[in-house]
Amino acid sequence: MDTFKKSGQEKQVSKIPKEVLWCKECVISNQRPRIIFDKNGVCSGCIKKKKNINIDWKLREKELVELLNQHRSKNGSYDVLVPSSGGKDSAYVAHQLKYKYNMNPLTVTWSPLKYTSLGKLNLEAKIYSGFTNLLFTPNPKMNAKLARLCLEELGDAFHVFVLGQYCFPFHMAMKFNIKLVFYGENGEAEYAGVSETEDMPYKPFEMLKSHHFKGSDIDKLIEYGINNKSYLNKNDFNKGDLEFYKLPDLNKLSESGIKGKHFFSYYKNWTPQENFYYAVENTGYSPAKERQEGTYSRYASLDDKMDGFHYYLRYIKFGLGRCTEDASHEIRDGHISRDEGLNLVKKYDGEFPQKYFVEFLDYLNLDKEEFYQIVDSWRPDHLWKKTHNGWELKNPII
Amino acid sequence: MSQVFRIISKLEIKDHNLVKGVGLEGLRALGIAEKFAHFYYDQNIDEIFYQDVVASLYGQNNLLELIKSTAKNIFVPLTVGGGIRTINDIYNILNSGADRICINSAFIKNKDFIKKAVKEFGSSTVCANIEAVKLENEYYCFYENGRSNSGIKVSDWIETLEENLIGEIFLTFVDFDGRGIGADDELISKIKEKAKVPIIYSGGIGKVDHIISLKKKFKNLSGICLASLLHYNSFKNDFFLDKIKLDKGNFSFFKNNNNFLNFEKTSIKDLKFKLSNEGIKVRL
Amino acid sequence: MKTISIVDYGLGNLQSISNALSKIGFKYKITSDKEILNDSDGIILPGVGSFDVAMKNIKKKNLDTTIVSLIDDNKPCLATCLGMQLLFEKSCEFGSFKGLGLLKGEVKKLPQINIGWNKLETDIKENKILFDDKFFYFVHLFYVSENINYAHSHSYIDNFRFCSSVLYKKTLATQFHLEKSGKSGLNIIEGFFNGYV
Repeated sequence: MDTFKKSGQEKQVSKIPKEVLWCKECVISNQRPRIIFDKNGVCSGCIKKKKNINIDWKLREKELVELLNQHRSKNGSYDVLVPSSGGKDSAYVAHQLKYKYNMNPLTVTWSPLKYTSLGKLNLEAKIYSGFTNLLFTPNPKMNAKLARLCLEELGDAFHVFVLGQYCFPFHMAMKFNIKLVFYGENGEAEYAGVSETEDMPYKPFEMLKSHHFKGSDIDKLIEYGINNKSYLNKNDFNKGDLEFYKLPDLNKLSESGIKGKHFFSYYKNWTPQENFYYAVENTGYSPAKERQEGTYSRYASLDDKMDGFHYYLRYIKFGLGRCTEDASHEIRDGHISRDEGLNLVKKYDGEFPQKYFVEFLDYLNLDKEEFYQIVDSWRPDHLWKKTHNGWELKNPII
Repeated sequence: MSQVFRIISKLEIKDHNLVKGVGLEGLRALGIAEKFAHFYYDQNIDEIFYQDVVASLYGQNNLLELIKSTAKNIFVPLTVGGGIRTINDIYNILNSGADRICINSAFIKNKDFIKKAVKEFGSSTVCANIEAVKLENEYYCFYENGRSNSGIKVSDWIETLEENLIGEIFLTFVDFDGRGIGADDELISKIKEKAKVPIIYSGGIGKVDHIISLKKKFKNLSGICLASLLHYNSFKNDFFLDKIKLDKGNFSFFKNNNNFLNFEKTSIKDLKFKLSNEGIKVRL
Repeated sequence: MKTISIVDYGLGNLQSISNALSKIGFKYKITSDKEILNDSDGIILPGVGSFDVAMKNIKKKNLDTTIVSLIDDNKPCLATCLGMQLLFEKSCEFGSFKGLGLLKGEVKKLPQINIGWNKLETDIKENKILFDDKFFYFVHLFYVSENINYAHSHSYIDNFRFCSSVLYKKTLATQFHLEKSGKSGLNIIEGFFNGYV
């Protein structure tokens, strides 16, 4: 097996504080990259949500209408691009823009690594509710190798999907001459990242790199891979395919009038659970039939067989699994209490995503032992200890 | 003379609020549960069913105070379910004023508990709730409020429950729950010939016609358990005008005063009347 | 204000009955004490559970003679469900057990549990007024045949006829649950103790 975790491309894990602190109000910890805790031990996500009470949503609605008025086409050509997985959030955004605000959206889908059948059904149902959709599927052979490279060097195979999800829509916006690109939520503001973007209706391109790319650079990563991994060589990649994992040239973006990632969550009091109901009513959305591994819910993040491993590796690297994120969000939304969230986290967080494990290994061309070795290499010493029961968190939530 | 076709309302409860999801997912709150129970009782509902929908997440059934309070004011049968795990749990719930209990997860996890509960309390007091989910042309029993697949087929499970002398079965078709698109014909046709124990159907009723066509297809159906159709019709009623404490729960929808899914405008009185006109015997 | 005593012999949904009496506005006591029962304006004989356990408990508390003499002495009494069945000579529930023997007749087993709402059929005009053509809530596995003395109403399960209430002196015994039959049931309780009989 090749060596792994030697490229130095992963920049987040080394920055996390060595002392684990838990938010007093939700169930997230200070291990989340870029999170900030105030002097009362409350995280930036909770603080931001409380500020929502002071937001004048009528004014935000006015701002939205003004923005859309500026962009709405007069001849029915595409005037807004909505990156859309087929999930509930993008379904809500696309449907609102089209049917409530009379825009002419083009929805584009950067394919999940491996679509679940429910994911496909939900995407189709959304399309049938009245949208033209472009589904773009990166070459799976290349993608799988990149995924393995990301797992070994960044601690997250899913990162390859994330890169495309953030960059590809802007390529399409340029190709289709669309200046407005609308995402659902501002992950940093909603999920407790840096607060400087809280009051921003859109995120400029310069910020994307540090917030979402784990501080890495795809070209450097691939170069490292070609030089150090037995499973990668330069014939695995071509320029055309790799375009979409990077943002277009920033000058060209600027010239085309595209300002950055716009967020619908800036204009609406964003409640993912209500987006679910909206999508059920308007775009034929169906929840999963079984509880998603690692959490208690069935209505979110349903389209990729591989995303369970994204949450699992996050649990390994930061001690924060899928349930922690879900429960924190619902606590901030006022749906559940911290005690309830705590209960849920203790019950479900860090659950191994068994359902698609074999398919995942197959996809990455790894065997079980190799996978476990890689996973274990990402466990920070200050978070994990090895006992006769296996690995345990040194500072689990209380 | 045929038996009266019972009109029952299911109230899913979190904290003291009535909640309603889709496919048993989502905890959108529509108001204070007890107020709905009173409202429906005033409107001549035949039976009230309280389901604690978060018991499986947080521990045990948490409805004792609510049951005590409700039993002071409503005098039709009160059935309670959600997180009932032991004989002691059943005693506590019945002693608080419930008339019947309804169990799912605990029975699925331990078949022996069915016989035990029936022996202690009698068939007429012990019901079972089936969360039916369709997977690849077959219907399976789920548990923990639609979260986990037991792998047991619905038709097999009905047989097991009957062998153990269960009093009645509440059959919920999870896939249609909260959607208002009608009952599932296929599920009904699969079980209607086989089931000997009384069955109450729930899941997907969006208009009165859905009930009528269901009852016509499944003549021996004992009753219908309505949730969304009644709740979405009721929650904006003047009866509920008292200030609700919007402190905890998903009240976004409620605050925004929206509509949802165009459930038929109807009331308990209205639907009973329509059923009666179709020759279905109801308690008028 | 009327005070109604609920006979406590260890079986019965005493809470539901108390709640019903409170709702109507009656004061109530839950008791097995002969004196208290005697002093009250009316009594309720409840019952949920099995016949033989009920009779064992009643005998243990020496309530059998008390109940029989109160009823025979025209104390207004409402008996529901199992409470009604206890008034008879015997029950064949899992064997053969003697009842209070106030009324001639036998308690037998239904082919299947009856759970649900039934109407009360009667030829007596005054009864028709009392029952008001409403439905009442039944849940029982045993029944009394309708061909007995003092039969007050009968009901049907499909084509099967059984006795749904009995009127003897000032005792109205119902197979159905008065406290679970909605407002109609409460109306009967109220009307009965306020002097219907």
